[in-house]
Parts: sequence; structure tokens; C-alpha cells
Amino acid sequence: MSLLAPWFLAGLGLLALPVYLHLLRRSRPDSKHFSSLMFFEPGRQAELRRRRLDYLALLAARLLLLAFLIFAFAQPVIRSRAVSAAAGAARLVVVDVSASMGCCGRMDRARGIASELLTPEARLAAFDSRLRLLDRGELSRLAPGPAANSFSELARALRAWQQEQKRPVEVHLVSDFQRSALPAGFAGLELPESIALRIHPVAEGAEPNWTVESVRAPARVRQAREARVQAVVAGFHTPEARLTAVLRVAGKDVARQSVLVPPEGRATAAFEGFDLAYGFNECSVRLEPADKLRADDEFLFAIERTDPLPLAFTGDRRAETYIRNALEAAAGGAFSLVSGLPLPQARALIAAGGLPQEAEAVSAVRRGMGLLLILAAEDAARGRVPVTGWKTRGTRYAARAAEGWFSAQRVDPTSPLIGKALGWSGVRFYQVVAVEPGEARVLAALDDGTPLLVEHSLGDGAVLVLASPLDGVANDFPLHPAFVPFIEQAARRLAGWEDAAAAMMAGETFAPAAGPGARSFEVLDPRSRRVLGFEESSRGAAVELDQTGFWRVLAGAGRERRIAVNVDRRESDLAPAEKEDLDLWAKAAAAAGQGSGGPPPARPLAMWLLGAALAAAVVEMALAAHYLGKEAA
Amino acid sequence: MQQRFLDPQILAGIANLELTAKTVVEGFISGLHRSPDFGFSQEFAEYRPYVPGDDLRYVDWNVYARAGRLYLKRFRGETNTRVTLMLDRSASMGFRGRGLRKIDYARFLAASLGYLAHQQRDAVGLIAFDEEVRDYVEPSSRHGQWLKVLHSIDRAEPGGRTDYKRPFWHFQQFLRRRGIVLVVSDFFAAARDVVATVAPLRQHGNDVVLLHVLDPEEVEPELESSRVLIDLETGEEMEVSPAYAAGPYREKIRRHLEELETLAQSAGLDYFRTLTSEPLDAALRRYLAVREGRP
Repeated sequence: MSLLAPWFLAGLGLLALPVYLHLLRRSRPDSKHFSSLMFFEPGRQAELRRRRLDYLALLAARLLLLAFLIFAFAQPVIRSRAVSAAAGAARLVVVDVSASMGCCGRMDRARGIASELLTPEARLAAFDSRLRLLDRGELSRLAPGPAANSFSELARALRAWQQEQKRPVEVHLVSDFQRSALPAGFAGLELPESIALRIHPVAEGAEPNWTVESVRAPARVRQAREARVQAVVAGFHTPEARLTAVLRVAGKDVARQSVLVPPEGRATAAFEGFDLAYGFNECSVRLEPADKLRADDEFLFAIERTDPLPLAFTGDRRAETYIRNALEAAAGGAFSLVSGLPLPQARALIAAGGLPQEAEAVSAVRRGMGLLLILAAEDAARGRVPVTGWKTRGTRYAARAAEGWFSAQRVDPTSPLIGKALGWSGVRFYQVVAVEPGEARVLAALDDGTPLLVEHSLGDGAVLVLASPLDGVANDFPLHPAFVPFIEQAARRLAGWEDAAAAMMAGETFAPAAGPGARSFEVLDPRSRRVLGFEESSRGAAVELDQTGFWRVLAGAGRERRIAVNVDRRESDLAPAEKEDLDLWAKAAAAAGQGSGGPPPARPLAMWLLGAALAAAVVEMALAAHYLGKEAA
Repeated sequence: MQQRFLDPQILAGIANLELTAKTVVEGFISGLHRSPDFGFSQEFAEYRPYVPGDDLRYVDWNVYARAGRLYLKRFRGETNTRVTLMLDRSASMGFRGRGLRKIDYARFLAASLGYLAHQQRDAVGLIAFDEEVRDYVEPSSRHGQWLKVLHSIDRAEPGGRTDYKRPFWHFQQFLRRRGIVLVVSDFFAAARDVVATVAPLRQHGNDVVLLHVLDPEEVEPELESSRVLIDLETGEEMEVSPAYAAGPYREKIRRHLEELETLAQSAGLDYFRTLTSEPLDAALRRYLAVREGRP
């Protein structure tokens, strides 16, 4: 038995209080006047007898009451194997399957240790960035994954799992205990007393390791040889070495470059002038010769070679001029604005003042085409907005207002259409068609709530509605600096040319935006298995990127994204954590003991002592009442 | 059945001390059927021949029947008898155990005895004392003397310590004629000192009676548990056990009483002890029996 708060034992001094009350305070008997004491002598015998402990039972009850309370505050706990066995502690063997376990036979050693720890009642679990319970038979098939491990995440998962078990847990952790996996502080590693942690390191030291740490490459290019790729090669605990970086495109090594990596340093390899085919090019930069951890020797990335995306235009010529110039200025030819382009060939349609082929446009939008509607006075006269069917409430003219113009007062800066367009600050609107957008997302509005820019989802397509004409009269927007980024972002949004991550790390989660305006898509893993469907993506479901390779994200109208998933580079530093740090964690986490070799879990006794104190209090009250009644009589 | 004896507690309810004395004495007299042989000066001394003018009530008719001559019975002190009541009003007299305070009982007793003397037209005086003489009424037969004595008795309240030497020395300074001296006290002092202090009065020819008033609690104290006793005169505190009170103390007080009685009798002093629980008329009866030498 041990005490968690032994300093409360100082309160035992309080036990002197009832002794004092019984011995000293009660030692003076009642007094009485008498005519003369000439025939009396001091009754020493009586005095001594008086000083005997009166009311021994009452005194005992009071002493017990105080003692129980003091010991309860001291929080005694019993640590014994009998308690552990009685409590039926569950054993969990956790094996690290992060990428670094692929080095130097660590995984083989981990499987061997785990097989010894797996008693018949024990459970098996694997962990990297998350904890997964496995069948015992899967131990032999355990292999290093691409993800990085995180001990703080493991501690959180263990706490949650222990709460489900509702009994003490004995956790054996088999890992290489990478230093990079430990959090900065131990607060995140805290485990409850009911979890006994025992660590089993399998790393023998800081193995040298080189890796392609990162690659900078454009996500999209239009010309075959315009791409430039820059790779950073890093060494951890390494001497100076000359390595070869190999650029591989579409399954073929297209370039090689020798790099001199300084001791525990970094070097850069650059590639350019290589050919790229139309469409997605799956690329990688690989190091030669390979080292002990092969998983991080290659870095995957994808480059898409495309022609300018065709955008159809219909409507006012002045507006067409403004938009064409803005697209050429901002997107560098990524988009081509074609007046009268058939809709099936267009990635998006921009309609300024009227939409003659509304039914065809609605159909195309539902199939995934984007549409930018720039309303004109005629739309207000018709009383409805094309495609969306929203009602209009006439036109508002700024001349009737006090300032002489309107401005965007209520804006949503989280939208790139606003945030990257200077927040539409300073743009003057003189004429605005008042629309009722219903549940659609209003990105910008006047001070009185009249919408200026509304985003709406229709089928697989998106619709943007600008409620002020781009005729050079209704506003000064085309002449304002905010106009160019606005048109560029609108084109990207409607054409599906959004910034795609060139590469992501294994273990990360790909989470599409949900809600109105979000498009549905499906996700295929590197083995072309569908892991997320259209319906799930429209609800905002996420996908964990648990495999390295090229993942495909397919949207409507033939649009596609390619995501390269690489081994988490936090795994590249193979240095294990300091032994002192691990011991500290084990001690901090194992207040109740660690595994079969450590102290067993503790059983607190405070509640029992409080119960005993309550019983002593009841006895004390009964005895006190008895003696008081006697004295009163 | 008519109550024979007067309970001191009942008498204490009578506020008027004179009325209390009359109640006691006249009840007591009716109980005795008016015997001619009572009182302080009724000690027979001699016969003398009748001369004209003598009160015929004192003619001894038995002698006349036998001798055919008239003789008058003469009593000692028949004339000019002085009765001095010495009332101890020390703090110890304020003790109250199982009955009245001792001072109350002593006042009733002194008043009753004084009333008896007054009825016989003796000169009655009073000295109330503790360590000093606190009140002094010179014995006299004058009209109103009795009321003065009563008032002095009534004023006597306990206070001060007991010291017999100074009051008795003082008393001897005023003593001009012999008489009867009644000392009413609890005599909480060494018996030898008490007798040594009082005995000179007797040596001067006075008839001295020690009326020892005690509370039953003082003779046979009963303690259920150890108690701290506080001396009424000195304020001294002492823890006393029940065993001591039931054993050694009783033995000591018994020896003290015996010693006091023995020494008093050997010094020619009359000694009469009463407890506050004893009815006053019964005490008077016993007192007179003692005075007449009858058991």
C-alpha cells in the first residue's frame, strides 16, 4: 500500500485534540462551596482516577473518525498483483507500423517481441497515425506502412479504448520510438492510472538515412518542355555522400543528376527540358543508390499538361472585352474565351445580359458545366433570373441614395472570389438588380442585404450570379483592380481549375468541401479501387490517404485531379528518442504499474476510508448522546 | 394528626423573626404543659420566709402544707440575670446543605432563646461576630430592648472569617456583671482553641452554653463523584473524592465534635449540638433537657 498524498498524514497531530479534551478538559470536576476545608485533604487518588480516560469508547470513536478522515485525504492505494488479477486487467500489444519500422529489420524484431507478449487473452493492435485493433493472426502479416506515427495520438486512442474497456489495461508498446514522433511536452502523452504501460524498443540506434524531402513542380503546364522540377535531398545522421537523383516520368527515367549531400545536410537537384504528354504525367524523383529505408527514397508528384480551357461567352460585347482582357492578364493563357462556342465544348459559360439558350445551358450546368450570369436591366424587367429561376425585385439605382453609389458592405472573405479580389473594397455600384436568392450562398451584398454576388449549386455544376451589369455604366468594377483576380477566380471555380495539391503525405485526410456549391466526385486509390463515391463526397465524407501512389479524383464533365501520396517525411529521421525520455513517459504513465515486469495497477482506498469515517461518526454520535443523557440525569 | 414539631423550612417562610420566635416558643410551651421549672433563671437556690408584699405565686404551698409556714422558693439569678447571645456570623455560617442555611437556623435559635429570656424579663443582649464584633446590643431589661435584639439578629448575614479571640476579648471588656452567655456557632476551629477562648468567661462566673449548629452535610457529606470544594471563608479549593468524604472526613469531624464536647464539659461549659434539619422546638426541648441535667 502506498499513499498518493502522504503530506496529509501531518493531520495525525489532530488526534491529540480528543485526547486533550478527554484527559485534561474533563479532569476538573464540578466545584461546590463548603463551610470549611479544615477536615479535608486533597484527594490525590481521586485526581489520578479522574485522569483515567473517561468515556473510552467515545474517545476511541473520535480517534477513529479523525484517523479515517486523515488517511482518506492521504489517498492510500493498494498495489498488488492480486488486485491486478482480481481486476482482470486487459493486455494490449501495440506494434508500430509506421514507415520507419521498415528499416534495419525493426519490423521483424517487433513481430518477434509481440508474439511473445501475445498471451491467449491479449489483444493485438497496430498504430501509426492512428490505432487499429487487429486479429491475432494478422501479426505475421504486419508490415510497415507509409504513415508517420504519433505517440500523442496513440495516448489519446489508448485513453479512449481504456474507457470502453472499463477495467485496467496493460499496454505493451513495441516500437522504434522515433524522436520525431514524441510531442514537445509530455502533457499529450498522459495516460490514466488504469493504463499500465510497458515499452519495448526495437531500434538499435540512429541509422543514417537519405531522402527526397520535397519536390517543387507545377501542377499544370501548357507546353511540353516548360516544366521545371526542383527536388531537395536531405540526409539524417549521414556523412557527406554523392547520390544520384533520377527523374522518372510516366514510368521512364528521363533525367539523372548527381548531387553532393553534405553531412546531415541538404542538397537540391533541378530538372527541366523534359517532355510531358498531354494529360496527367505521373512523375517521381528517386535516389540512387538506395539506403536502408527505401520507402522515402522516392518522391511522387503529378504534372498535368493541358490546352487552354475553353470558356463560352454570350451577351454584351463591352463585357466580353472586359472579361477577355482580365483573363489574359491574370491566367496567362490558361483560359480561352470564345464567343458562340457550343456548350458541350465549353468548360464554363459566361453570360452577360441574357441567355438565349437557357434550357441547353441548364442541362449543361447539371452535367457539371460552370455558369457566370451577369445580370442586366432586362433580367429585372423579366422578373426572374435565368437558370436559377430566382425572382427579381426591380433595379436599385444609386443616384437615389445619399452617397451617389453603392458598395459591397457584406462580403464573405473566405471565398477566393472575394478574398483574392481585394474584398471588393472601393468598387462603386450604381445599378444593381435586386434578386431573391433563396437558400443560395450570398458572397457579397449591399448594406441593406441586396445580393451582389451569389453562388449556387445546380446538379454537378455551379452557378455564379453577378447582380450588376458589366457595361461600364452600372458600376466601375471592370476598371477596378479587384476585377482581374475576381474574373480569374471565377474562371477557375467554374472550369474546375482549382489549385490541386501537387503531393500529400500518407496518413493525411482528403476532405472535399461539403455544402451548397460543392461538387460531388469519386475517389480512386492507387489500385483504382473506388474508396469514395459521388453521394458520399456530396455529404462531405473524408478519405484517409493510407497508401502511397497516385490517387484519382473524378468529377463530372470528365474533369479529373491526380493526387500523389508519399511516405511521411517525418519518418526519415531514424534517431530513437532518448532513453531518459522514454523512462520518464513510462513512469509518468504507469502510476499503476507497467506490464508484467512493472508495478501492478493501484486500487484507491479513499472511498472505503470515508465510509469507515462515516460509520465512526455515527457511533460517536450515538455514544455522545448516551453519555450526555447520562450526565444530564 | 397534628404536626408535633415545627419544620425549620416552614419557619424560614415566616419573614418576621419575632413571629417565628413566638411560634416556636409558645408552641413549645404548650407542648410542655407550662412547667414552672423552665427558663434560664429557674435554677432552685433556697427557701426564704414570706414577708408581706412578696408575690404569692412564688409561695411553696407544699412546704406550707407540711410546715404550716409560708416560704418562698428562690431561684438563682432570679434577679438581674443577663442573657448575652453571641451569634457567629462568619462566612461558614452561610453554608446550606440539605436544609436551611446555618445562619438562618442560628438566628431562629437565638431569637427563640432570646424570646424565652425576654418573657422572663431577663436582660437580653446580643453580640454578632465573625473575626470582629460586628454588632453589639448590651443586655438590658428596658422597654424596646427586645426589638433591638431582634433587629440585630435579623441583620446578621454571613461574611468574614471565624476568629473567636478578638470578639471574646472584646466581650470581656464589656462584661460587668455575670450572666448567661449563649454562643451560637458552627465552631469550625480547633476545639482546644475554642474552649481556650471561651473558658475565661466561665471562670468569671458566667454560665456559658455552646450551641453548636451544623448542617447534616457537614457531618455526613455525600459525594457522588469527586468534587472541587471551595472554602466559604478562605476561598481555598480542594478536590475531594467520595471515598474520602465518606471515610476519613467523617471520622475527623466525629473526633472534632467529641473533642469539643469533652473539652467544653471539662471546662465547665454547657455544650449543645443541633443540626439544621432538626425542628426548632425539638431542639429547644433537648436544650432545656440538657440544661436541667436530664437526659
